[in-house]
Amino acid sequence: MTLPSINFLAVLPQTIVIATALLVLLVDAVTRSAQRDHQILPWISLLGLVAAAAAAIWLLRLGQPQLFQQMAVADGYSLAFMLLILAAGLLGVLLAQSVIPAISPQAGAYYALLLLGVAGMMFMGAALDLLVVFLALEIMSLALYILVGFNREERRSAEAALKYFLLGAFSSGFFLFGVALLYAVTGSTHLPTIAAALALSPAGSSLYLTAALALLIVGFGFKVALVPFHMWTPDAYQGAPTPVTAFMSVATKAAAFAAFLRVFALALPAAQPQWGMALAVLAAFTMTLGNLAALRQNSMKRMLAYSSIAHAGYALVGLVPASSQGVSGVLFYLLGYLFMNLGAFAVVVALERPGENDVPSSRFVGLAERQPAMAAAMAIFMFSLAGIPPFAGFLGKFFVFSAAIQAGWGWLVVIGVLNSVLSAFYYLTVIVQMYFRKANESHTSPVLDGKAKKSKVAVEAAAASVADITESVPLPVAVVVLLAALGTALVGLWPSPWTHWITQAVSAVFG
Amino acid sequence: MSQVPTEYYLLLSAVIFVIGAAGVLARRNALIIFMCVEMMLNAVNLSLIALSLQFGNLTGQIVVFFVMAVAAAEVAVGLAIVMAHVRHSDSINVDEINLLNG
Repeated sequence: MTLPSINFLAVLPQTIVIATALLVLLVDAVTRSAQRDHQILPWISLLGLVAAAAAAIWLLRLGQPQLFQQMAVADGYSLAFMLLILAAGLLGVLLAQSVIPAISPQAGAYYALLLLGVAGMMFMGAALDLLVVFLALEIMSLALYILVGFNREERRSAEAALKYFLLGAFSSGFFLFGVALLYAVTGSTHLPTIAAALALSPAGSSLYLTAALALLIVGFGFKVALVPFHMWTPDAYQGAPTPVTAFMSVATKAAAFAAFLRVFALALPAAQPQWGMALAVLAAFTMTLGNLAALRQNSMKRMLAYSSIAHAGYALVGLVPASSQGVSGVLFYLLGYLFMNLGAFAVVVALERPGENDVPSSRFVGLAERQPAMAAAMAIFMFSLAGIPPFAGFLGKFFVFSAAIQAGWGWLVVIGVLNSVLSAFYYLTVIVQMYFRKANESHTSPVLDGKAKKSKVAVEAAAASVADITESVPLPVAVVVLLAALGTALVGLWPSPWTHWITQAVSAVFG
Repeated sequence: MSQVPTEYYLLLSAVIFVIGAAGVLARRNALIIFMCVEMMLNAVNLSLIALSLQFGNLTGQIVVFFVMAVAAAEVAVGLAIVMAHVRHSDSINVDEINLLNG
């Protein structure tokens, strides 16, 4: 008997990330007593992520999809998602560098968990078997539960972690039952085998199949935060340390969509008549309720959390027709979303004062005078999130919606466009506050009596704004804001290389 | 010897799963909710083993092993999170987890 030859090349990027995570833990343990300053760890993590990205690009250049024992694959589609997630990981590490050491002495665990989470996310896109999807989902989620509760001094952080954990574990139960029922219908958990089995017997009216689809939608719906399953999102996003929120809001969404798209559009296209309408209705509710809730928020992190729910709805529109065009639309959407949403959260990190874990939206009043560069970056992110050309968010929505129209989902696109208009209201409010309101307006209280108090208020306001100017933004955070703003503008203004690459990668897999 | 039909196993597994899900929604103690989640996972394990027997392949049983490992990891992380929360509030009643208004 010989051992089967295993093509480890197919999982090279993930292996590099996991090895880096272990190295970070080791270095952390060795240097702990010698030096309390753990600034070497983020650099190791960054190097590991860059090396993994280099490996992914090298695999991309090979052109040939690399199979890992029928379990995982390194094809254009999975490598595209890997690069996206690695970029989110890079920005997440940079963003954490100045914040995490201040809230916890165990910065080493932070970087290791982030890297392990990234590895799980990379497997989500690469999975070719429902078992691997489940394992990747759990690896990702377990790392994120801990990261959300990383600030142990803060009660809100622990509370957010508990909520996220209980609902996350609940949803993975649903997902797993969906896997079992799909196994009952087709006798396999291998995605291409499932697709072949369902294509052979298109009598897909069986109760098992319907139940399996419903359970899988619930499972994925929790992870990408679709509306009836979104309750954890605002709480987890608000309670988590802001660098974690920034990272997970884009990376988890990308990873969950990677698996969602592959399972539904690749393994279950034969059942599309059954799940298409369900997903369309979910997308409509997700967009509408996400935007309506975001309108009412005073906390910036909560507003961005509800806005990210709405964005999950827009992206889902691209999955509804199960066409390769729709899938490339979602991939492009998530690419733009990576930069604009991570950037918006990075600005929140930059505006947080020491000891704070959130920013009230009133802090944006007059930001353009105090920190013009930061305000300009935030304006780019807000315009892009609202879907206003020429930024990435507009093109993402355009590709997703046009794919839906071509498949005859006109009513869904109408709802989507109306929602974009609705969302513009709260995104543009931020811009109005930054550019068209004076800082001292917010300090005016209705009980002013006489000049003395007025001048005192003015002095206070002046002191506050001086404090804001001298309040320096840490360099890594500034770099993240800059990179995200550049990415948002670049993907929007110069989309052809990206669309070309994405279309090629997706059509090779989805035909 | 006549075999028990696979449908019976699936039905039993579905019943246990629903009991677990109802427990998650109805109970207020975080630890009991957690136990209900574990019950849901084990209900799925039952159906996976039954299906594995029916199809004559090992896929289902392999999945069960991984599910057990994942459940163990979930216990480790979950109990740590519950402990971290108890240090702040002395309570594991989920109705009292309301600092974040959601």
